[in-house]
Amino acid sequence: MDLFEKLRILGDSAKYDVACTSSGNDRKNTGSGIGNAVSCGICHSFSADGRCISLLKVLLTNYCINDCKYCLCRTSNDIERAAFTPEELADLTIEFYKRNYIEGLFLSSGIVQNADHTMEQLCQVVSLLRTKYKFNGYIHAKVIPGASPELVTKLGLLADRMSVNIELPSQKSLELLAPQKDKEKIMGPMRLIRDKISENKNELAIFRKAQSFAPAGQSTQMIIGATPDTDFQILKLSEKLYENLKLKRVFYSAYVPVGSSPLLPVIDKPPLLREHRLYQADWLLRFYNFKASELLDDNNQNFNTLLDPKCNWAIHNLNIFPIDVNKAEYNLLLRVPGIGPTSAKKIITARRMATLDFTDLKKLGIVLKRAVYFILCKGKYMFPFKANEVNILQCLLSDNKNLFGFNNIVQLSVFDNLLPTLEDEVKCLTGQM
Amino acid sequence: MLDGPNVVYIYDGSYQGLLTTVFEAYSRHETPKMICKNGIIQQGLLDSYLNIQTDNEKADRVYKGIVNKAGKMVAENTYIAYLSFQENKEIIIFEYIRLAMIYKSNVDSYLTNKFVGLLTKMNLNTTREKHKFLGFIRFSVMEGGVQYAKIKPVNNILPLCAPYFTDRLKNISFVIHDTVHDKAAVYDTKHLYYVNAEGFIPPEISEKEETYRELWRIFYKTICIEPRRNEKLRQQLMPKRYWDNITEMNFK
Repeated sequence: MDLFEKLRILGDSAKYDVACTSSGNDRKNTGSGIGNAVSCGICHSFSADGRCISLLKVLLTNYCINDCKYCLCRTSNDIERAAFTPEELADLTIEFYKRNYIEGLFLSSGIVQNADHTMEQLCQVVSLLRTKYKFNGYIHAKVIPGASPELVTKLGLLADRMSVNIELPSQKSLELLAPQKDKEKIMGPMRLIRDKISENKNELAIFRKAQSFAPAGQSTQMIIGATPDTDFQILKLSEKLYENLKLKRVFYSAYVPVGSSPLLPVIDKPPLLREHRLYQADWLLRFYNFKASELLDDNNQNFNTLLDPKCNWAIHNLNIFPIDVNKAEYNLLLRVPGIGPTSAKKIITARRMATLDFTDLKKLGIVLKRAVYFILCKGKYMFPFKANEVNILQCLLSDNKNLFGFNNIVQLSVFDNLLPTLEDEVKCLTGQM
Repeated sequence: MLDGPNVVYIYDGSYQGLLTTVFEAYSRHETPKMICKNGIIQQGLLDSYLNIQTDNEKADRVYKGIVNKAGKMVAENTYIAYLSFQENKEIIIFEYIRLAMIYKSNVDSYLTNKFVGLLTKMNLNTTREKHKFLGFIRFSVMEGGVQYAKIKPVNNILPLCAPYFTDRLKNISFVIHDTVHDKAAVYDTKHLYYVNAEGFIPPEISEKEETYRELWRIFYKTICIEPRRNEKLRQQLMPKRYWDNITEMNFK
């Protein structure tokens, strides 16, 4: 089988693992090799489905002894199978990297013989890249569930980021759809990685040149929509993963039917809106200091399809609004729909120099369309009276009209430039005005 | 600025030239109404014109002055603003420097000021494009191992991008050719140079190069999850104006 075929088959099998970032670690070139890493990550391209491509994402092989019902590569599925040799894959990675197609490699694999044997194959490829090819770019390595601690450690010293996919949000669904993976096989390596990263931070504090263990941290992935788990259950699980396992990211992958098992739901298109809401909520947990229990609860287990989670929260907590942009502290500013971390920081910076009014906010790039119902500038609302819940909801939902039926806030004459034109001046002189 | 003579400064289009105009304005105790590049002059009835001769010594004094009064970052901001495609960038930079002399390193916090706001916005546009190009630049490996890339940026981001690649591809020589501004960055594994590249046509690519391009195109095509196809989103994130030089968007 030629390299073209292998790349097509093994790229096709890997594409459902949505982890795509090359972020998390800054590293300069070692001098004799090739490559560096940039902590904000670089998107090299975008596929036709709009997703960012920054890594060469492939399976080392798509042969697999497991039979997970949701997976394309399950052993009972009749598909084309292939395998890279370590040299082939390392060479491909370097050639793509040189041409600036990618930031690095994302390597996973189907399970061949057993977890440890597969892990050894992965270690071989990554080690080849780091030592023989002197590759200093980004490597994201998947850990096979059930791998032994020695191999997890070995791989961690070579890779930037590691991940073990949780795939299904509850033990029950795991037992049902992927009985060969059990919870402990997944959580064991995740705990080990967390502990090793923490240990390593202490080592590096003392000895700067110590070898790094997974410097870009750990992540995981969950499939959304293949099981009856609610948004609340998924969000609570993510919150626990961030808190207890210190993960850098949790990825949500909308279920795309690749099999026809009676245990899987029959859907005509992937639940993209649900995935989008989960990412919005995930951002609120990580950057806006929200708790999962603030966004959803036992009586509201799933997200509002019409409003994003932050607006939804704001509508149900109108008692804390309006807040004064010139006085509110950072965390409170973050709670206003339309104000995110960048805008909040800008407000705090700009208000040191001058008290802000609504025109100033617009200059700073705040999304006034949403924020306007929740803030005061210099003690005043933008409009003469306070709106109630129903009115605000109507306006947030309808893109175009604001509370008073004007199409665009800019058209309100109060905010127009008030300098008289030449015509106005003439009219004044002749007495027409 | 409505009182006093309406004087328009004309400079040669270089960064040193721009800094020289600042020097001249301060030494003459006047504020130009506009600063124009040679050849791009807007006629105004009451305007008088002043040709500014670029003087590196004067330019260096201005730059050092900015660094001393307002800090390195403010000085760098003026350079990034110079790289912008915006037409009236010169007068914005000039006013920003004046404000920096007054507010020192706090000038960047003064976001509600017209010129600080405009400059900040301009620089955001430029640095965003630079970051996009760090990802979109595509090299071709030519015979002999030298790598060649062509770019068509809106802003003059070559001086911002090229240094990044000297670290990434430390031991590989490369040329990045900006076809809009007719310049090229050349790296020979030791030093980075910028040269005039008007009319430069690269040599033909080898078969090996075509093979790797094809492999990448296959990977790119395969990775799309069909039920999630969203070409509008792709175009938003990867604007069509860059597609000419992006390998995978040029399918055979």
